[in-house]
Amino acid sequence: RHLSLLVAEEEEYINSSSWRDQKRHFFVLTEAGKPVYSRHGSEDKLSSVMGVMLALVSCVHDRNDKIRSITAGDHKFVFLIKIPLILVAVCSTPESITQITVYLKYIYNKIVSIVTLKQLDRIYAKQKNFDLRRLLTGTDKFLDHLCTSMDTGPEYLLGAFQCLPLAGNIRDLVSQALQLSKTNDLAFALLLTSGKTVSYCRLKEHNLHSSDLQILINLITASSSFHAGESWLPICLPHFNPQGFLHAHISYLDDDFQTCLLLLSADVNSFFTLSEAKKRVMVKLNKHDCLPILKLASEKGMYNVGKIGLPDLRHFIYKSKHQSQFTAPEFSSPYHDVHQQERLFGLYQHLHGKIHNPAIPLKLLFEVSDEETMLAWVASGFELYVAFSPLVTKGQAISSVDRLLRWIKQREDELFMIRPLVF
Amino acid sequence: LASLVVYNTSYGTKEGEEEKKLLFYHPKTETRDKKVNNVGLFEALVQFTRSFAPNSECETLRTKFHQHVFLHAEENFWLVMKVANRTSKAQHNEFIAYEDEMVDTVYHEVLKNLYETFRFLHGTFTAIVGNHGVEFLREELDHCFGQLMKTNLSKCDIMSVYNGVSYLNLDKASYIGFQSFIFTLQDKFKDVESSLLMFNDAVILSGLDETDTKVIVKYLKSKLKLCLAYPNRLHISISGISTYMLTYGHMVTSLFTSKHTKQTRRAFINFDAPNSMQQVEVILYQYQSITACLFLNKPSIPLVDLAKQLDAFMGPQLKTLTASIVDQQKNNYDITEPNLKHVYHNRCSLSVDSTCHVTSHSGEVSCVIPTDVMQVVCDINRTFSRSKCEEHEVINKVHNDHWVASKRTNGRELHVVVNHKNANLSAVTEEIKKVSCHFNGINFAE
Repeated sequence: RHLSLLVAEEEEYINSSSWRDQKRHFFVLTEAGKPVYSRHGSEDKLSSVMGVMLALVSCVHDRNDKIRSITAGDHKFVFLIKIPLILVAVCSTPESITQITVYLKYIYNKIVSIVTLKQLDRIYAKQKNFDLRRLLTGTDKFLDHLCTSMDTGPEYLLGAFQCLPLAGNIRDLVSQALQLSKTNDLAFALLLTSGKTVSYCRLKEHNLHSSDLQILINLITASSSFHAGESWLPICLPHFNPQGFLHAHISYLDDDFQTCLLLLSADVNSFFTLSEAKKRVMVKLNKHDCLPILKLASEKGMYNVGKIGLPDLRHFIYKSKHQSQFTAPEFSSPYHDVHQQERLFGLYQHLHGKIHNPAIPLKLLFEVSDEETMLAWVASGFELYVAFSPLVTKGQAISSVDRLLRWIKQREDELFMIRPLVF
Repeated sequence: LASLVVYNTSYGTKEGEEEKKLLFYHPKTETRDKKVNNVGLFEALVQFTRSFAPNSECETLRTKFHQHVFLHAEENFWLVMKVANRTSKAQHNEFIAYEDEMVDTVYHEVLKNLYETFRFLHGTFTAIVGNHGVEFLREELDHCFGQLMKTNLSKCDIMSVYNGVSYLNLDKASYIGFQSFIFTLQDKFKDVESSLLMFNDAVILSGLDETDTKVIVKYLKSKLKLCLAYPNRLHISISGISTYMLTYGHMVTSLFTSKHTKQTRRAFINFDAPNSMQQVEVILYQYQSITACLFLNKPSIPLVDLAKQLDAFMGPQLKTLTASIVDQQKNNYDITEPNLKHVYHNRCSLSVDSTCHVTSHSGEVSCVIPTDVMQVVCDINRTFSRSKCEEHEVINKVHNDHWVASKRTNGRELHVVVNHKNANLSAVTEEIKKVSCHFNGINFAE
């Protein structure tokens, strides 16, 4: 009797439009059908929905095939099968199926970063119906934060990160300071201000992949638990090594928790060595009075598009392919409210999806609609996405793009990290 | 085409009776269990998508190797078509199989057309079941879909989406001539409810609504293409079509027949207006290059006698009228511009016009631009049909040499394909103008 009451409650919940009508659902379950995570609503109440998902996956699997996606009107249902996990997205947003698959991969990587692939495989080889939530206790907020930032974050769409705009010589000083943290097993040293990358230093033979960097940024921005003193935490960076943990020494360098230093080492016993290394970085930064400058730069924020002096230009995103970095101005008129910003981001997603269509990639896309004229252009070194006012002529758009590219080139040093150092 | 299934969700709801849901299953060789299982999967999918999107219907299921297209044809009646993914690289690259996202609409329209053609020839599923029972519907589907399924899917593109008809270019006087001919005809022969006139494969005028016109023209073209290609040999029975010679022209007798009822020359029209589906009888009359499709409501005399009377009236008139058809030149811009091609569609009149396709002597239509460029055209059409604004313009650079410029305005769509080495946006804009100036009111942005 108690059970039937629960089932009824669950049904009512799923049928409530407030849950159903969410624009982006993400679900994670195990191949035994155990719920792991749901973005909206508690996964406990969703066991029947997840049961259906598992049934669909295994039904198609029985036919020696693999389910990828379902479409119904504006809704897209996308499946990513990474045994022992199954990830499902249900979106009624303008992304393409390929883009949604990329989002699911971010979620998968986030989970791997907490438990490592090695542990995941070992557990499920032994015990098929293990409840993974036991290992993920307390990490829901990181997954929630990741899902929310993917809603409007170009970094996930582009696979690139955005630097804090900063004078080139200051960034160089920070890089040199980070280099001083070198110890035997140090893999990466990273400095963030207000969640934006200032600089990082890495081992010569290992690049810091932008998706790994995103995991670190997500970790810092999702939680205030690192505010107190120095923290020590195991973390797996799936692109660096999905099988094992790195150990992160995390500390804030200023009193208002703006600037954060992350030191990642392969040695589990190196906390005190890294604590010493942090002091060396601090000395160098203080010597040149860098922290107040960083604070000022973060308060100043991004630049306004009006600064460029192109009347028809409303907003843009420029990605430098070599550096996996992008730059974009802050939102200005007419994109001042969240609704408009989401709409604009939807247009960027649309352009990005078309231009990177895996079957037929395009070189250039120019689209005129009622509210704006959009341009996307992929060249050898960069990708550019621009929103113009709807009345711009093609001639004006072309000359604006030329001037915009020149403007970016002139400020390359300030907008991008172009001289990263290695240990 | 890997398989085609028609089922009704309300049949065989009891455990163990699931087989009753099946109305049609291709390939027939599939085991009973597999058939039942597949329908179970389809029903689960439909339920699953409804739980998130209660107002939309499940449209496609994409897997690593296949794509399923769903059509909710009538209440409880579903058609599901399964197609193998076009690419064989699917095993090596996870993403490449998504290619077919671009041709979604194409497959969907092919399936819809299949259903509409069936409906035109036999009536709705619901009506058939109501009048003759489920078993009868199964037999009709077997008979009819077997014939219709021969569509070559790899050749389907934007033209299957538009499913439009090409109209004959006529000067005003000749057009009015034809119009008054039809008026007189329908006045003189009260049994003739409405009619459709074609010259070769181009429509002169149609008294039917859009969907009916679309379906009939496509059906006639597929059945009569051989006759049309050899207009002088019309009296010979070709590919199962038999004709009945009259004094001037002849009557095509073997179309629109049902194997079971032995009722000849009937069809169902008027689906768009609610509750006004009509069963009509059809006389298909040909005189030289003219085909007249006459729809009769409960004729008072036998069709053969009526046909004789019609022939005596129509023959001499058509003779004069045909002579006035002189110009068939469709492409009114300078065809010495080989780097420019276009596809045009008018949603209201159904008119289509394409220089991206050529028709061979045997009636085969083939596409002359690269497949990927054509896929981009299909994809833009999909963007347009999902876009909320009536005015929409898109210009794509596909690879180094090809550009696709598309404009939608007031229900009309024009896609211009420009093949131009090392062009830039301004140069392409100039090229597009050479085409768009021939389409009144379609102006690309400056």
